[in-house]
Amino acid sequence: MKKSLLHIVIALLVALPVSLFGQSKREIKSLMESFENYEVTTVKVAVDGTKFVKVWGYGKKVDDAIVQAKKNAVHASLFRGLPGMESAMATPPIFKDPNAFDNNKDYFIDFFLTGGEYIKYINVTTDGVPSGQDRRQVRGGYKVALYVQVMFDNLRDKMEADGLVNKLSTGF
Amino acid sequence: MKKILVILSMLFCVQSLDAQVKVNDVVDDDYVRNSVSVIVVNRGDSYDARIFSMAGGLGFGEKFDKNEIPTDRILIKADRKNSVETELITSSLEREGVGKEIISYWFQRDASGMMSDELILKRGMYSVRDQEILNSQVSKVGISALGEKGYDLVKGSYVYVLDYYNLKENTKDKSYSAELKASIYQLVCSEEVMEQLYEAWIYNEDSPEVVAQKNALYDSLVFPMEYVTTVEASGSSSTSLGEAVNNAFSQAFYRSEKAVDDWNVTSSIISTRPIKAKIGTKEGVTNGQRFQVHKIVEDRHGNLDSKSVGYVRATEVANNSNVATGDTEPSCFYQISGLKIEEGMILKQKNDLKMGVTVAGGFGGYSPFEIGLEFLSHINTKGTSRYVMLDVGIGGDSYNDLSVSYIVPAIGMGIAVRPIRPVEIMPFIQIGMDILSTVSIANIDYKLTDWSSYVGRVGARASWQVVYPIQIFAQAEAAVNFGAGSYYAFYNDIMLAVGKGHEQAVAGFSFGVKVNF
Amino acid sequence: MRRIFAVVLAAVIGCSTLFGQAKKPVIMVVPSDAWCVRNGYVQEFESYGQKEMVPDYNAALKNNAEIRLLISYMGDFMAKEEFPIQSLESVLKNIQNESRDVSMITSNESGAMIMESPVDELRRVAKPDIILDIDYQVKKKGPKKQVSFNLTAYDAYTSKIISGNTGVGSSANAPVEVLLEEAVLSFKDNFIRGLQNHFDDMFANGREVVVTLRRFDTADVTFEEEFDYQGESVELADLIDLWFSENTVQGRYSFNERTADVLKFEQVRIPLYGKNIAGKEVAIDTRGFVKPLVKMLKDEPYYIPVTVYQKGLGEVWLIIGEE
Repeated sequence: MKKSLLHIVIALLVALPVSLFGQSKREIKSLMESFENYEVTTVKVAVDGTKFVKVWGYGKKVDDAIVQAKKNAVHASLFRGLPGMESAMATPPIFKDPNAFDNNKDYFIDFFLTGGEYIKYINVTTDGVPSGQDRRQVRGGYKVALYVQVMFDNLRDKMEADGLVNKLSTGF
Repeated sequence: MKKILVILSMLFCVQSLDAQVKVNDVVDDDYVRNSVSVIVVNRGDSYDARIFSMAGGLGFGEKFDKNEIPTDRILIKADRKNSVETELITSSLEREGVGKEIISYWFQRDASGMMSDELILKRGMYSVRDQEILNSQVSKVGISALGEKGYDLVKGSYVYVLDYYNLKENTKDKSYSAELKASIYQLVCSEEVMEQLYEAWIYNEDSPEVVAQKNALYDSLVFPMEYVTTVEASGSSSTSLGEAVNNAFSQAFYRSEKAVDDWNVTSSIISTRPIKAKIGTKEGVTNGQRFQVHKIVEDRHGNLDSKSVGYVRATEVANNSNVATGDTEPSCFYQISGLKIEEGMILKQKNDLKMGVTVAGGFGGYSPFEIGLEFLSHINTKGTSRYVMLDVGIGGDSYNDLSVSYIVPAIGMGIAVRPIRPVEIMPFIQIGMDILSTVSIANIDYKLTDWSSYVGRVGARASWQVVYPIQIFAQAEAAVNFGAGSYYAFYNDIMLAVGKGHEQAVAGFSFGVKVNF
Repeated sequence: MRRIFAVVLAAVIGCSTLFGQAKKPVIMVVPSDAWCVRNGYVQEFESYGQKEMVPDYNAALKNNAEIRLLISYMGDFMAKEEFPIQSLESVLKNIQNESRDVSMITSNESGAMIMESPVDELRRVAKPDIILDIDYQVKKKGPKKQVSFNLTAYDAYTSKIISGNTGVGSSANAPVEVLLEEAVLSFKDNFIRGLQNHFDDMFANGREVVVTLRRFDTADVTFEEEFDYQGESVELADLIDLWFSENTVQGRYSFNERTADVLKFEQVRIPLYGKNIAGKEVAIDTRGFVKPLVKMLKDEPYYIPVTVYQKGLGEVWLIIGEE
């Protein structure tokens, strides 16, 4: 009896860190996957230094989808660019280099993990929770759209300060 | 027992199937305020002036803005026996240029041809939602352009043409009735229409020649109206023709709201315990009003579909009749049927009469068979509901060649509480009459009080909603019989003597079905 | 070759005390001709007996609050990028005050007085590297207004477009100022990216400049004069061509005009930096770039006197024959 208890404890001790490690690895994997496919549109020209976008996120639960949408808004500003619309020009991404994410993978995984730095650069303006056609039940989860104000200039400053992107005046 | 369980579970399945019924058009929470102009059809007869003045007082409530246009009546000479043909109304509206009148009203066009968007901006501001305010705060051309929403409202301009016919006015019998054909038209307000209008827009700096040109252009423009639908209604009254006209209008309006999809308020659920949504008096929401809850589903190909989740009723209606500030007070709702409701789902107005019909059979009480009509007069956020009840019990007894029948009409009130959503426990109290009749009644000078007694009833009902809108119930009641009239007492006593008839006090049980509509 | 290298080094040392970094391009916002014409800010002037309409920037800036506002919005965001915009107003004042000494040289060329157009005048005085040509129009749609805009940034010397931004703003009954600011915010980041691309290209491939060599009538050599080069007799023009091929970034330039009197080198990619004798990186500009060439011409075996006239940062004229 005692022996089997000991076994269980040992097994738990061994399994615990592995599962924790597995968790974060899964998180990273799902983070990378979710960046592959999302929609973002410009809503209107925003106040100075910011961008006003409607961005979609996918998740098993509505809350997960909301978090993902927030991340996508920042991701789009950094790497994808924000498409233009009738009364707003397109905004090019902060990084010109399409491999910028991969080149600084550790930095960005940290940046984007839940509770990471990215959250400082957005302001969600959706009233309450995504509703109506902005909240869609899809296979295996939810797809939601958020109205997000991205602190674009601050985000660029941050990337410049962290030495990942050059300032316009660099070299002069 | 097993059998019952099987039946119950089958019923349950039916309920969840019903909740997943596909809705044809994809519902969205994009309701915008509509506006109406009321036009009365004159027939060239003596009723014209009266009907017009009666209809003038009819209101669409706070939910609609009113477009005051010069054409408030059209003359179609025809006998008031029947309603006029829709084509005649359509051509008459075209002739009067009602579409242009509406545009002129929206843009406050004056005699010199000058226009302004002041009214549009004002109405736009009034119809702005919290989400739009939050959005405007972060956009450059934001707050200063909030009123632009008013341009969306121009599309929702309707004309409501009232044609009253078959009027009956019998002052001797105090019986009045009217029939109503209400035809609904909508302004066609496309991009092209607006572009045309802007071509004719006079600016301060325009020279007199340009002004004349633009005015000529405006005169040549046609703003078409589109026929939407027609609803028929009738009303009657025992006090005046005016009330009959009014009742007919109420019925027509109820039917119109059901017929014109854009008139149904939509909003989204912002919280679930209790269920809340940012609509209220401004949208004409009233206590007990029914809304259908929808969720949006996207299939693998990206096609959207809205599915019904259940029904709710408005409980505490917020007074939101002011310009939104971003922090609008929501109204509360109580779920009356369906599956789990979540935040972000869509509410869509789905009016019903808030009525229910009951059919019950029982023993021990005064009536073995009973039918009833119940009206939901109030519901609170916990689901506690007040009903006004109107019941008619039917029964009869016979002894040798004497047979009597009892009709027991009663009115009353019940207060239902809901320990869990499908179950209602309702104590009620009723007062009514117990009317006895026999075949020999015809030979006697009839006085109702001689043939009846009064009845008082208290009881409690437990009902279970098997599938919306059907409830089954069991009811226990105690009733007393008092103040019997002479004939009533005479015949009832005969029956009582042989162990039949209505005793002074009884206790009874009954089982029945209630269907809500 | 070695000698040339030594000369380059020497020249670079000379420059290094002046510039620690590459020179920051001077940027100026100018209302477009089309805008000036539409709004009536034009002057008529006569050139070769023909009447021409030219923009009257003075009048525009004095009377049009919108364009001032627009320029100030742009100045604002460029200042945040650490690129203060050259103030058009102050440049216009300078023009009024300044003597026209440079036109003396041009008059040497043609022998006649040339009236400069205002843009040329601006370029001469302000020496902008990048001109932001801005055009906008407020369209009225009934009670609503809508701004359409067109901002073109071009390299002042090569006239190449660096960044083009056209679009329309919101259509709304809002103050024009708000709509104009919206337009600026709309193109801001796209515009900055255009500049960034331009600068990145510059740092990677060098700055694009134009070098023109001319001779005074009084000069006793032409570009066809032959000199001895490593035992062979070679035309001066070829020697100069050789110099360019060795001193431009990746040998990129195009030798466009070649006569006895004029040599014109365009799309000349000059390095932004050179190394001084201590091995330290220093920035050079067009004048710095041609300095070794001037030195070479002045030294043996050529002994040709050269006047250097710099037209802003991006174009330089070397006029041989006089000093």
